[in-house]
Amino acid sequence: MKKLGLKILIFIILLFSADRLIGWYLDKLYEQNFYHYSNGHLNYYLKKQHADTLIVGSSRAINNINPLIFGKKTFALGEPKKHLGWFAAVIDLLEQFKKLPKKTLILHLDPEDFNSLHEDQLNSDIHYLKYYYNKNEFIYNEINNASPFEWIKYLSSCFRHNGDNLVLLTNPLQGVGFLPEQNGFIPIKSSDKDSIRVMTEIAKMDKNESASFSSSKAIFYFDHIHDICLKNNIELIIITSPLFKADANFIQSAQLMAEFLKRKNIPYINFLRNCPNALKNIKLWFDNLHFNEQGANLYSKELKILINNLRPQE
Amino acid sequence: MLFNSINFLVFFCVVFTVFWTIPIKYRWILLLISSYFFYMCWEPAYILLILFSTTSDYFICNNLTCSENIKKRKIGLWLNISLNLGMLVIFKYFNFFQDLIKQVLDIFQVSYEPQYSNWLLPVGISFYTFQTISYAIDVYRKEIEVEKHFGKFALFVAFFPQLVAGPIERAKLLLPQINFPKSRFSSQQFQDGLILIIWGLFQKAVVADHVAIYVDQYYNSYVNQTGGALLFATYLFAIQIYCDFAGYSNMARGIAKMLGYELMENFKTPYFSSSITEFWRNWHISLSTWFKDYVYIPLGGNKKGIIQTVKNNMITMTLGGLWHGANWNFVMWGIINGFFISFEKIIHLLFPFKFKWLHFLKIFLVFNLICLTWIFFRSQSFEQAIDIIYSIANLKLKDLYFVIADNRFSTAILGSIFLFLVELQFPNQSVTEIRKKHIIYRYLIYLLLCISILLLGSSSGMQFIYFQF
Repeated sequence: MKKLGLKILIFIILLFSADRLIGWYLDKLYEQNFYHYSNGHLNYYLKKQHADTLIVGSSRAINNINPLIFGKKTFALGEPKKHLGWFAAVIDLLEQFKKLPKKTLILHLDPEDFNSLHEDQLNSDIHYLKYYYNKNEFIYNEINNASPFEWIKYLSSCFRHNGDNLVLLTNPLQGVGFLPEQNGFIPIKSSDKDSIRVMTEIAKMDKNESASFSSSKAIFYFDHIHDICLKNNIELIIITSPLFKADANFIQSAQLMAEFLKRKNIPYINFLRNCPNALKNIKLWFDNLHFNEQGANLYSKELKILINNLRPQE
Repeated sequence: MLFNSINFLVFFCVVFTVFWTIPIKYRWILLLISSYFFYMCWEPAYILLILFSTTSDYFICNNLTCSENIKKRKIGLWLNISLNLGMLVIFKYFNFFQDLIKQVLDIFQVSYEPQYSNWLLPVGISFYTFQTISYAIDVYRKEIEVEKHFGKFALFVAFFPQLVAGPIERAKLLLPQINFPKSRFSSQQFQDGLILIIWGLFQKAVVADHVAIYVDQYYNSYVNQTGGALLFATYLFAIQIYCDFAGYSNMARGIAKMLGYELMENFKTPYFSSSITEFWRNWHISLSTWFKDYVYIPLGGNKKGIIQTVKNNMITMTLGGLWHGANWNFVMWGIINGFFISFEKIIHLLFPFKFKWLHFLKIFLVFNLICLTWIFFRSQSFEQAIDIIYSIANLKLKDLYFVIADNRFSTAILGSIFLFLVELQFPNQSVTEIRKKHIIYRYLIYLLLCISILLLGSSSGMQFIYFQF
């Protein structure tokens, strides 16, 4: 028994040392990571930018909206396939690091963000920011809510980089994943196959998913963002970009979202319902969710007009 | 509660500590309560099924199946089998048989509206029902004594390390261990158990769960995928299913070992087999030996000539396919395996020569044939499997480039290479044999495994594939 105890002790010491060493090295890599996957986009903004107007969202925000059309002090901050969980945690981090936009927060939301069927995604959104587990109270609490024993995983320094470490190793080779002079905008180049992709995605659309506005978790995250904006006197505008083809349930869910936002007196620009004809040209689309560069520029101009219309004329 | 979850880690630490602290006579009670708690973490109501299966099997075996009167014994056996298979039919095959009846009646132009059940499939039902059926048959054959102690029999049915996905233990191996448990803690067993758990977790969390992302991505949108991508996804699925199930089995054995129990080995480097027959000797051993002992041999095995052997092979493998799921693609998967095994038997009969130099070529060929069968196993339907085979048959090599160019792919490939390097180190033996290696080598491997799990392991605790069976 004593021999076994000694063996285990030696192994734990070795494991602890290796874990701390690798964790320390990955922390260094993370801090230098500006490639947009693995939160490089967020890192870039936290270290090198401070916008007047900030556009936050998923790939539909950073691929579809060109912030330069809104002005030089506008920045688009997002990660592909992220939802309200990530947005809420990021905005909390921005508040903590005093990097909240000085004037306006444009939050890009899709109606599916509020569907309780997608609550698992909200959870994984938060875990995507687990680097900040010990650095941010909101993220710490949200991760611990998942399970009473979740903290055990974070006894390891390596675990904070679980899932993104290989990307961290390869990212320095890739530099910055977007052009800094484009303020976070990641334009998609058009290609010959785009229209085929659009049509294939339309054919695959899940028509069984019913309209829903039922996720209490999503509402909690949204309220958290709203509270931060109110506290810091920041104008909050919600937008939903158009789809090349949106099915009826999706539009109905957006309507439920519009009613929710109306009750809270938050301006909402919904392109799902009222998409200008100029944007319905398939040549402007990369797939059913994203514009190509030309489409993004045209859409951004339309969006700018509508946002300006929300404000009283000077 | 999954073995690869933090909740299970806490649960097991508590069970382990209390188990080795309390007097030996109370340990079975602790394990029984823990096993029921473990099962109820999925769906509390389904514990009633285990209780029903346990109680009925216990009373039937004790009153009928073990009787000296042959008629009573037969009645007892058929009652045992009917009740257990009945549960399987109701919960697993009900909708499948409804469809089958409709298809048959459609041929005779008789209208029939199937009434589908919405019941969830109770996790592990195929495993514990087969375990209790094997117990009843062994009692009937007088190969084992009937278990008189109800509580210990209940533990045999519900022993948590192997309850939900096997290995399907035999009563002659597990019951004596429950009746006469090891009184002393063995540090050797503890270390072996820990190695198995870490190795199983690596297989599951680092390899299988990462590979699963690609397999799901390609198979779920197979219509839009190229033949190259689907071929690649099929090879990846071969790795996924092996690491998922072998990982679970290793963890189950490791957990049992740390509590002083030995479970049977379920996998012995199956992808290094040089024949399909050998593959099935090394793959899901507890199930293949179950079918051999309780279906293939009672049907006559290979003792009644080649035609009868082929027939027995086909029946056994088809049932094996059906055991995996109530779907035609599983049935077809079983039939194809049965066909390959039968074909091998005929070839061996016609050409009884052995060419050692063909060994590696045979391994390569067997691996590819098995991968072909996996297409049926992974597909959602028979039609999907055919579409995928058609796409693969028309593949263009340049399509493979786009799959390999995906940089997230590296985790899956790195894990797989490491896995096969370790398997090559211990051909046909347990990974616990690592203890015979030099201490520095051993500790380096342990550290590498633990750090890999922390860094690369899927942290979300993905479900094991075999839980659905």
